[in-house]
Parts: sequence; C-alpha cells; structure tokens
Amino acid sequence: MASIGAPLDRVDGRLKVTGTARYAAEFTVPGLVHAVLVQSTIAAGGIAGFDLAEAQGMPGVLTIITPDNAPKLPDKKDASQAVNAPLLQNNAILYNGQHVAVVVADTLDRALAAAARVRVHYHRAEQITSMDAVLGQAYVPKHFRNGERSPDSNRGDPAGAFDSGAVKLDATYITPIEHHNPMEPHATITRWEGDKLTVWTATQGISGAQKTLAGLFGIDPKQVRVVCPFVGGGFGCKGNTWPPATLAAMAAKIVQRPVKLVLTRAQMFTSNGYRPRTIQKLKFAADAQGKLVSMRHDGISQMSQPILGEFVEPVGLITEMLYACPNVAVTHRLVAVNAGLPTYMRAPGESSGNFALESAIDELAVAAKSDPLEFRLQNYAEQDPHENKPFASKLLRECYRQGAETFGWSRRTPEPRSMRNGRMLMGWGMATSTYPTNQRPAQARVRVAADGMVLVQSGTQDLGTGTYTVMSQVAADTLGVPVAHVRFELGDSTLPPAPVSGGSSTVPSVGPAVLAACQAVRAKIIDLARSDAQLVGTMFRPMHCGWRTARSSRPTAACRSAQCSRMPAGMRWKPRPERRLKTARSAIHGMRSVRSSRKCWWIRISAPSASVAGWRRSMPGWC
Amino acid sequence: MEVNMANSGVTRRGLLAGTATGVALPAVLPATPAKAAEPAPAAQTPTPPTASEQIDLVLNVNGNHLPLTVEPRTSLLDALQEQAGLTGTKKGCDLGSCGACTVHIDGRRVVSCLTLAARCQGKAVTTIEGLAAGGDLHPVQAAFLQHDGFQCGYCTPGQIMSAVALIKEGHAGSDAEIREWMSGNICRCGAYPNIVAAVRDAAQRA
Amino acid sequence: MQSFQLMHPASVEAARTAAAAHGAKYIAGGTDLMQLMKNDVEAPDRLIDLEPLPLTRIVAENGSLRLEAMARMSDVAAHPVVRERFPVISQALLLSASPQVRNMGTMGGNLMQRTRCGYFRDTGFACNKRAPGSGCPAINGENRMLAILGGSTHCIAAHPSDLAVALVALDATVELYGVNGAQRTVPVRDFHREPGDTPQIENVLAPGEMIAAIVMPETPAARRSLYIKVRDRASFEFALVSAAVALQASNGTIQDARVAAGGVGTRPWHLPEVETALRGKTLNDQTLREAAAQAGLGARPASQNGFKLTLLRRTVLRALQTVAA
Repeated sequence: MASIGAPLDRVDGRLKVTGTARYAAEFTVPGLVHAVLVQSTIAAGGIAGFDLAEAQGMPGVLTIITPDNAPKLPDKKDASQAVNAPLLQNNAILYNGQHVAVVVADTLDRALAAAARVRVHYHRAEQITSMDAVLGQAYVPKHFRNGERSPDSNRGDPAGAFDSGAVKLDATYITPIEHHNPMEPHATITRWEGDKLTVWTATQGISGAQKTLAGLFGIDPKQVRVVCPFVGGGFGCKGNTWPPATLAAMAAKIVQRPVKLVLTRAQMFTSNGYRPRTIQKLKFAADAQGKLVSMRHDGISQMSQPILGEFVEPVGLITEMLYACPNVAVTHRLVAVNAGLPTYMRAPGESSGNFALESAIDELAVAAKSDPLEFRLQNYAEQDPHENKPFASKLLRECYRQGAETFGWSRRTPEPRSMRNGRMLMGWGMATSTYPTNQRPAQARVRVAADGMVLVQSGTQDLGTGTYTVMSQVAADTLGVPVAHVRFELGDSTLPPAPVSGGSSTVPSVGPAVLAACQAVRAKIIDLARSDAQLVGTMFRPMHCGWRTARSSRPTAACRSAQCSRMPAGMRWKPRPERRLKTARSAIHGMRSVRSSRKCWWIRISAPSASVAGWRRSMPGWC
Repeated sequence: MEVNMANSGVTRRGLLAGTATGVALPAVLPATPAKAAEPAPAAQTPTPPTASEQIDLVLNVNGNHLPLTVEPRTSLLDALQEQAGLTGTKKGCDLGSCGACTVHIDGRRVVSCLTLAARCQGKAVTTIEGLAAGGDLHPVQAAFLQHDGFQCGYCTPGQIMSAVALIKEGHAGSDAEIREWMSGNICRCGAYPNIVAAVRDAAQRA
Repeated sequence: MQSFQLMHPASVEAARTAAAAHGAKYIAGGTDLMQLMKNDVEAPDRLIDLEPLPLTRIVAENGSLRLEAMARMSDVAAHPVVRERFPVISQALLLSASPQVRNMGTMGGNLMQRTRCGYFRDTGFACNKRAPGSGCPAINGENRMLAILGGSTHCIAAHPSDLAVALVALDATVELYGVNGAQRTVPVRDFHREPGDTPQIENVLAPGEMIAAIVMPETPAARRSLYIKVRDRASFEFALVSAAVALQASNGTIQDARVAAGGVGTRPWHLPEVETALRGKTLNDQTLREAAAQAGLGARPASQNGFKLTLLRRTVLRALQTVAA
C-alpha cells in the first residue's frame, strides 16, 4: 500500500516527543565557550568609544570583540544574501539593536553578566525611525527579485482606464512589521580546526550558510561543514546567515575554542530580520457591469540604510496575475530608515500584498453593488494575464464553488450589520490566496543495503515542515518498500546539496531528486538481478504489476500485487539451493537472496508505471 | 480584547485538594533502569551555600543522582542543558513566558528558566527524558505522536510536561479547560488543535 | 544576571538579619525577581531564600483567612475555603499568569511584583523608577498599558498584580516581620505607594522587613465576590483593566459593597466613591450604573490609554451586575 496519501506518524516524531531530537545549541562540543552579543541602544550615529574595564575584569571573560579589534572581513558584499548585518567592521550605527560587541566567556552566565557591563559611548545623529516621515524619499530598488525583473510592470493604460471607470476605489493599506519568533532562538556552535570550520547552526539553508561563511573567512566552501538536523522553526528568519553564525565564527577564530552563541528572545526582534512595514496604495476601477478596467498597486516597504543591502517586500506580484484586467500597473519602492534589517517572512509579499489586493477587491465590489464572490468570478483570469501564458492547471473556480457551498455563502446578506447570531453581529467575507510553486536544483543520494534497508540523503532542511517524513514516503513508494525501512538523512553540508527551505520549495525540489535517485537504484537492482548467473537466459516478462522470473517457458498467471507475500496462483516452486547474488562493487549494493522456508526465492520487481506493486524479498514476515 | 472571568472551563473536580503544609515532599523514587546506579535518597536538609563562587550540588533528576557544580545564579534550565547534557528541556524565552522549559519539581509543573538550580536540592526534578519508562513512551508522548501534536518539535517537550501535569491536576475536562490550562505553553508552528486533541485523548485514557 | 550570594536561612529571624544587609533581597517564587535580574533591572548582592521557612500555610479559622507569605498562588486558588468564602481571591489568582508560574509564585511575591512598563524593564531606556532623575519616556511614548490614576509627572507605571486588587477590595491586612523580632500590620490599601516624586519607592517596607502573611476577615460580602479581567489575550496576560467587587445585600438593599480596580492605577486602586454610591441603596441596575459611573474620578489619561476610563466604568458595572445576579 502506498504511504503517500495514507495516515502516517512523522518518522522523526519519536525523537521530538522524547526530547532526543538535537537542535543547534544542543550538540556536545568539548571545550565550548559562550558568546553574547552587545547591541546599540541608539538608532543613528556612531560609536564614540567603549569602556570595557569592568567587563573585561569579570570572571571567566576570554575576550571582548569590538570594531576596535575585530578582524577585517572581505570588503565585498555577500551577494548571496539580500541584506547583511554589520559585523563590527566600523563604528557607524545604522539602527537600534545593531551588534556593536561580542563578549566571550567560559560560561553562559559569565558572558551574559559581562555583556551587561560593557559600556558604549555614542555620538548621535538625526535618526529616522518612521517611514511616514520620509515617504517622499522613496527609491527604486536595483535588485528586485535578485535582479531578474524590474520592480515595476505595466500593461495597457491604467491611468486612462481609471478615469473612464464607472466605479472607483482609491485606498491605502498598511501592513505592520511582523517578527518571526520561532520557538528556537537563533543558535550556533562554531569550531575551527586549522582553516576548516564546522558549524552547528539553526538554518533553513545549509548550502547558503556554507557559502556565506566561506566567503566571509576567505576559505573554500568545502572547508565549511554545516550541520543542522532539526530546526526549531524558521518562518524565513533562518534563511539568511545572520550574525549569530558569523560573529560566533569570528569569536571562535579569535579565542581558538569552539564558541556557542544563542540569541536572547529580545534579540530575536532585532538580529535576524523581520517582515517590513508596507504602505500600499491601490487604485482600482470597474465598468458599470463590474468588470475590472484598471488596477494600480503601488507598494512601499521599509528598508534599513541602503549600505546594508536591499530587501523588498514584493507586494504587487499577485495583483499582476490574479484577475483578468487589461490595464494594470505595479510598482515597488523602498524607504530607508534607521531600523533593523528586513527579511523574508512567511509568504513575503504574497501575504502582505494579498491583504491589500483582496481588501480592495472587496471594497470595489461593494462600490459596484456586486457580491464579492460574483465580482471575483466575473474577473476570473482564464490564463495568466501578466505572462500571457496558460496556467498549467487552475482549479480556483472549483475552490470558490466548494467554499461557497460548504460555508453557505448563499445565505449571506450584503448589507452591513444585517446578520446576527444571538447578541453578536456577524460579518461574512471571503478572499483568494495564491502562492507560487518554486523549484530549484537539488540532489539526493540513495543506498540500498544488503538487508534491504534504504538510506536516502540530501543536504536539505526540516523546520517542522516534515521533510524527513515526506522524503521517506517518496523513497518508500518509489522503491515499493515500507516507510519503516527507509532512513532519510538531511541537515549536513557533506550530503548532496539542496536549496534553502524557503518559498515552499523543498518538496518540489528535493522530492524529484529523491524520486529520480530511487528510480535509478531500482533500475540498477533489476540490472543486477538480470545479470545474475542463475537468471541469465530467464525471461523477464512484464506482468500487470511487475516482472516475474520463471523458469518455465510459459508465463504463469498474473500476480496479485496486494498479496505480495503469498505465492501467486499457478506459480510453481522450484527447489534450488540457497544462493547469493554477487554483491556489486559499486556504491549500490546488490540484493542478496534469503533462504525461504521452502528453499526458494523469487523476485518481483515493479514496473515504473505501477504505483503499488513492490519489490520484495521472500523473507517471511516481509510485506 | 478578552473579558475573562474565572470559572469558564474550570470544573470542580479539577481543583487541587488540600492545603500546602510547608513540608518538603519526600523524594524517594524507584531507580530507572536506564542510568541510575542507585536510587535517589530521601529529602535532605540542604546545606546553605553562602559564597558567590561555585556550589557543588547533587540534584535528583529523573530518579538519578546528578552531581552539578553551579553558581548561585545558574538556572535549573542552564544546569540541565549545559552540564547534565539533558537537552530535552528547551530555552525559548528564558523569562518564563513560553513554557518550553517546563519541568516537574516534586510533581508540579514549573518553568525551569526562572528556577535557580541551587534551590532544587532535596527536590525531585522530572524532565522530558524522565517520562518514558524503559523504551515505552509515556501515554502523553504517544498521544502527541499519534495526533501529530507538533511540527518543529521545539516546544514539544514543554508541552508534554505541561500536559502530563495538567491531566494529573484534573484540568482536562473539556477542550476549553485544556486550552486555558495549557496557556503557559506557546507553539509558534501553530499545532494547537492537534495538541488539544492529544491531551484530550491522553486524558480520556488516563 | 550578575553574581550574588544565595542564603538559605533556617529561621525567620536569621532571614531578617541577613536581609538587613545592604544589597540583599528576599527571593520567594522568583518569577518576577528572576526576570528583573536577567534584564539587569535588579542586581542584588545577596538573595535570601524564603523557601525553607515555615510560611506556607493557608489557615481559615476564627472567622478570618490567613495566607502566609510563601503559600503558592495555585494552592491558594484551589483551596476550598478560599473558593467558597473568598471567590474573588481565587478568581484573581486563576486569571493571573500561567499554571507553571502559579505553581511558583507566592502571596508575598505577588504583592511585591514590579510594573510591566517596557521602559522600566529595558535598561536601554531612561526611567525615573529604575534610575531616579533620568526621566520618564512613557509619558510621551508607549503608554497604552500604563496608569490613568495615581500617576505623577515622574511616573505613570501601572501596578500589575491581580491578587492585590482583590485584597484591596476586601480590605485585607499585611503582617510584616521586621528586624529584631519586630512585627506590625499594614492595611493592603496602604502597603503600595504612588510614585509622586520618588517612583523608586513602591511600598512601605523598611529595610529587612518581610511580608509574613495576609489576613482578612470572613464577611458576607467576601462570600459574594467576583474578579473580572479585561485584557488583549484570553490568558497569560496582564490586565488592561480589571475589577474586584464584593457585595452584601439583604431585602433588596445593599448593606456592604467593596470595589477595587487593576490595570488603571499606579497601585491597586480602591474605589470608595463607587462603594459609597452603593451602600444603603436599593440593589437594582440603576443603582449599579450610577455607582459604576463614579469610578475613575480624577483620572488623567496619557496619550494612548484614554480608553481605560470608559473601560473601567464598564468593567466595574459588568462586575457588579454579575455578582448581583
């Protein structure tokens, strides 16, 4: 029976409920010392000086790293990250919470206590902490979507069409800063051995962390090993490699001991990014029949000072593609303030932009005296209006239909305050949501052991997203083995590389790699079986669920895939001595036969098209 | 905005009985097969540490002797994680707000991040590692597994320790009561419905 | 947090002697003190552990209730006598904190807990309470959670305890042990101080003095009492506004009424004007409305908490209506 689609306990569940799953801060590394970050308490200006006398004299303090003594890092920006936090390279203060020092001590308590006694003297500059004050200084992003497209798009004549519209909406929507705050704070243990770096770190992107750290310290990525078998949530804040990892590695290099650095909960608001505030102006118009004639979506998102990079919350992307409107303009702008770095968070742009878009659609529907669902159906896009391409599939109409039916949309009365439930006034609305499917190159490796156990590996991540279980299911079903016979390993940069776990891309990226690897392994095993001396000359006849070997010249009756452990009807046992297949010398181990109770063996191998039939050994109890 | 009055979801049968007497509960426990060479002793009168230097302690954790060297300021959470290698108890906020560090002290759930290790002498500390008897999962652990009461798993040990205590306290009379009495444990992945289902299930079997 | 000596005194007298030393503090449950120390708001040289002391009893006898200082919140809330004869106390406790914190927090510690004001708790900010004379950024800053009553130009920090509000309503007394065997009692209503121009002084304790017990008489009004708490979250959150009420009526006339509010004052806020408007009146909705309208006289809202005045009156009314029903 296929494991995909059937109920299944998470394969890593037992580790989690027993507290034995290890997160980044929990690895035992001998000689470990602790680092604590000190942060700026002003938003703009510079460090005038440090008073470290008291802190340095406290018990257990090994070093205090400041811009005065921090090693110089390569000047070129890490292009793989949209934004990069300052790393003690100069005295400029660009936001409240910027890291200004790292205290390293032999215990966590001592490091924390000493960090609290580091005194920083500042000179203040004029600080801008409010977007609204500087909207007039909004600027055009230079690297929107990694430079793959312009931040602006335009089709038709939105301005002209707006003027001629019968029903109009001109509204501003604001979304606030939102912090990820996964339960596990950012944590890193870093250890140098010569110029080799091992990092146990909470990350959504092992490969990215490897590259970033290698670039920072001028070493080859192969000299960096990143280990992260479990992440205690990320939601986007663990996609980039932030100062907890980079400054910990710097500290470890200086003190020549492994360093552990864990953010405090308060630092989780300042030190690993957040969804930036957005101000979105939407101007929509429809004709008298309720068809959209013009949509204009101008989004401004908050950014830190531009020297730190560029992150844009891409709020207008869904507006470009969701509704059939011939005249659409979308722009994205940034406003720089003295605040911490923004970053990706749970559907960056989609969630914040969709809120504005769907609110505006609702309001326009009201202005058009149209039912909000009807209005959306009337403006349904049969093909992508931005790309002018057909959708590979689109079942949104069916979603609308099922949702309306399930929730009794027909019972809704449109007048505000017209619906009640006892003492409560009822409001009833709906909205559309959409999210792109992202796929990136990924690799996986499969090994089948002599005992039939399967090891699948990929340098991907599991942040509660279920990667361990999903990939085990993919492998199990592709090979036709029980999930319990599959072990999936991830979270190590020595494993085949995989992309960052962001943008819902892990399953679409790593899944096919696992699938392909398993298919290749299966093909190798079939080849091995075919080339077995005993089976040479045997006909491999395709059955409806697989091939079967048979010594007789006549194929036997079709096997029944559901009864794999029983002898299919009509097959004759052929006694033969216990045998072993040759074991392949390559990385793929061959299948060895196991003596059955009748001293016979048989192989059933699934055809690629069969979704259920398995590849089994005739081991009693195996099914 | 929430208007709260007590009694919503609280049942009579759910309340603790009896008065506190101020006598430390005896800490006699059976030895757990996994690690203990000998069972933990009965309650001892703690020797008052007076120096701000290191203190040598022996704590009773999961029925085992646990020798520790701590400063007075070392939290029970840090002692468990950094010294005892018991990393099942998690640090989520270090300020008692998230519940990820929940352990039992003398059978009562507390937050270990706000507990000084040096004040735990003579008490029985139970962590997530101490729940499973031998190789079998505790019924609450099994229920969490069965109901998928977690995603990333980081809040899970604290949730389970809280749930075990909640059931013993008799506060699992309804979903509303479970939610209220689990309010000291946060789950950022949002597994709350499954957590409630797991607790409800485990309580019904208890 | 900074280092300290930890002492486990064997007797109350030994505890008091140790506490009289400069830089010493008592530690009870530790749930507030540990937070303050981790945030570097407090850095005592010496902590005196109150746990070994015989101060945990909950005693109901001779027409009064005695809650010793180290009785845990959860035990008091669950005590059958408290639930039946002083329900406002049980409710106030159950609406406080979380189950874990209630298992740790104590009667004395709860009265001693300090304001949740974000400026006070973050040493990156100026704060007249934490660093006298440095200024108060809250008055023109983020003050939604802060006080509208009892503030001064120096400080508008709200007192966060729910238990204290219930005790103020019931006119409980605090028994204090001082050094050299001294003892005195102080009404809870006089225990906490308003900031004035010394916001760093929050209560009337003398150096080394400890709370020994809280005592209150059993009264008909206490039996018919209620706590209501309005807050942003359904649980584990401090009050925006709360109200403790106790009512005694016979033959449709209000004999005794006790009313206090939380979340609105720099200390638990007694509402004698509401009590006066209730006593001797007919128990009906109009009486309750007119009385509730008296709540908050003299309130001075700040820029973000003006809503608390209306909310206070409505909360008091809701509490009165509920307890009267």
